[in-house]
Amino acid sequence: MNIATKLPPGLDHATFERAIKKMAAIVGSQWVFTSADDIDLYRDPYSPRRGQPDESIPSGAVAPDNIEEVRAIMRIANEYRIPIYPVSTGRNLGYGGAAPVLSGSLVLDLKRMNRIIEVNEDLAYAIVEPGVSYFDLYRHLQDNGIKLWIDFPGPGWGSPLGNALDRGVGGYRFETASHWNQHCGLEVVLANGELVRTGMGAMPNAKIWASFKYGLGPDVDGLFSQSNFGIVTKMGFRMTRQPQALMSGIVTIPRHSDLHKAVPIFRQLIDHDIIRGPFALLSPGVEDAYQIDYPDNGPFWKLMDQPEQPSDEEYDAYIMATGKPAWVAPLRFMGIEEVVQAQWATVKKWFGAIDGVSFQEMPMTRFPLSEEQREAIPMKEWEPSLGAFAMGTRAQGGWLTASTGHIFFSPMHPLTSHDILKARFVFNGVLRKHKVKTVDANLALIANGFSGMVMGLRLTEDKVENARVRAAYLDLVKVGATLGYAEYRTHAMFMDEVVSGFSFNNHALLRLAETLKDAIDPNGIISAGRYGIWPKYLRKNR
Amino acid sequence: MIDIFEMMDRPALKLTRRRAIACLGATGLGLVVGSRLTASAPPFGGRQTAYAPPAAGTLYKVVYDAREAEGRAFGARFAAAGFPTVTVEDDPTWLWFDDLHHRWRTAGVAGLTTPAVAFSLKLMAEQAGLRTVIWGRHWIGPSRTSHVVAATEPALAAWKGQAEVGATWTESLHGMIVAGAAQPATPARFNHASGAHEDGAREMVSWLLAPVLKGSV
Repeated sequence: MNIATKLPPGLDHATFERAIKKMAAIVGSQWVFTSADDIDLYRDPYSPRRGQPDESIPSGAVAPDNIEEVRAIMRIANEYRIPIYPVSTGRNLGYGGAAPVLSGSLVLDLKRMNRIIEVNEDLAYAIVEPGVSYFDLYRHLQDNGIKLWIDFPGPGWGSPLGNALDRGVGGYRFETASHWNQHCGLEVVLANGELVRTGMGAMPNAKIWASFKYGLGPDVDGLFSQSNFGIVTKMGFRMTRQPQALMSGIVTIPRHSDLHKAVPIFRQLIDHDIIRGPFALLSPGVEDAYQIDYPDNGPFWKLMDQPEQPSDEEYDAYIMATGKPAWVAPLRFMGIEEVVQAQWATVKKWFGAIDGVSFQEMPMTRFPLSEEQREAIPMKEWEPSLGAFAMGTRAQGGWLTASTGHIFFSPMHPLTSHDILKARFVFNGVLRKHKVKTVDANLALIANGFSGMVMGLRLTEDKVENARVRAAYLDLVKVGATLGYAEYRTHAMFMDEVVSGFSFNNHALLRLAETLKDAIDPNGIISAGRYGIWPKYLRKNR
Repeated sequence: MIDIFEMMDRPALKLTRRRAIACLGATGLGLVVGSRLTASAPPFGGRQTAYAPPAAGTLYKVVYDAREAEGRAFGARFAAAGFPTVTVEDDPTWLWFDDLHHRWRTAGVAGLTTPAVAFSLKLMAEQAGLRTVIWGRHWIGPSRTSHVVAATEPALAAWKGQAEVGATWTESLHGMIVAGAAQPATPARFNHASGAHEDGAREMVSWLLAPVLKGSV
């Protein structure tokens, strides 16, 4: 057996090989991967430490086909104390890929478990295994004429189950845009091989596993999200019913200082169910400033390279000089056509109170589409895609041409104009200090009750530059903790640092998680170090 | 020495004024551009099946970017040799979804495309158990074209051999890919590099994604 050099901590080659042979007897040798070529596929394509001594590399991978094989593997892992790192499907680019937090872990690749257990069109839910991708589910809906939509993140290669567990986000409605929020019932293999179903799924022959979130007693589902307490093998989740109509409308706000008027309007529109889903607030007036290579001492950075936030007047003067609007909000409305029209009319009425605001209305799309309409509409935002990688790729030049990837820093903060401006000013100041660029345009995400930034820190082929990115990331985390802004999810490489910011009462939350970890996974088999939760045998050295 | 394997896994992310929308795409909030092929999808099969070994020497399809002269030359060379070809522009979603996805586990797929298309298809292929047999980066500058190529030994020999007899680089790609497809394997860690690229050069990527004999995910 060809075994690569990276072994699980504390295991010698012969012992690891014995364990791997036992696993191969369970799943078939063709589903066990230990050669360097195979392991390469589980490295993080976007890792800022790729090829460096501290890059996290798995010892191998094993791909079970069903729950019984998962349970058998867990028993072997416990016997040999092999750390297992379950992954579903997709790449999780920007957040660490399939590479384990603990180098030398054995990846438990669940891609073969790709059964769509049920899609219920009447009740708008699905139950799937981890290896089902958004594309798989989309294909199932299309082939069976099911008029439900999937709320998906960027590239459609990901797993609805895996993305929900990591609390990924989409965009249709607030109810489903948080993918963890839309989940409804789990099936979980625990570290000891025990099979558990949560919520109504715990009732044999349950009829509302995926439509009623709670069963009876403690609601334990949250323990399996952003954690390492079990391996989720099935998940129910709510889906979005195909609307009668969909329309996009764009609100353009010329003055920078009008953000102070606009944000309260956004809050009201959200709270009154006029805006029903998250959106991005773009800043065309400052985008160009982020395109210029360091060192850049143009007027924008002269404004920003000060200890204090520029005044409203300074911002307004800068934006006016660019000739571009300060803020642009592309909004989406979907549902009953009359309601959609009323929602957009309300947006225009309320924002009409701000001088100079303009509106752009996209044509209403009515469903179902005819085949001719399908061909005629190039923008199909309801279909999963690889388009996130394709946007603008043929346009030549630009400041991002040397980019080879990115890692996300995604801090959330209150939905106030003060916090939006402060987060942008402070976090960009950190990047400026470290001479690190982002691959985004400093947009603000607006949701129900909170706002946030998703900053993709640019990686290149230059190890020195990537080292600066790592340093900047750690600085961003520290500064965020000082401000009380926290990431909604984080890169596998920085989980310890981000979790350390949740330090109330001497890290009581982490200590609770560790207590649970020790009880439920005493050998520390599952996803060591994920979201800062380390097994006891590794904890004392950290 | 350039570590090609460090470079080959990463897309040249080129975002322009539409980058904000692309970023929205990364969070699921974005609009999606797609130009769908008209090919019909096969009946839903319930779940993916185990993969059959590849038929050596075969290529299911050759993909090229017809907007670029180099892409057209590449496509024409393969078409003349009897290989089925298809064009792609910026978004390979429907090419993959409606076509390649169904067949590429039994035969290789090759192409000359933008880096982003190559990267997306590479990740999808690797997820389906295929391997990257050839990955060539070609920077087409105002006065010359430079290359960094990772390929299996026979494929690289074919590339070099054709170049030595005066073939154009797109013609050489044909020989390299055919040789690579004949013995699909993950390339050893060597590469062929031909100097630094010129400022302002645009990049295209040649690639061969193919099943290797061992079953995989």
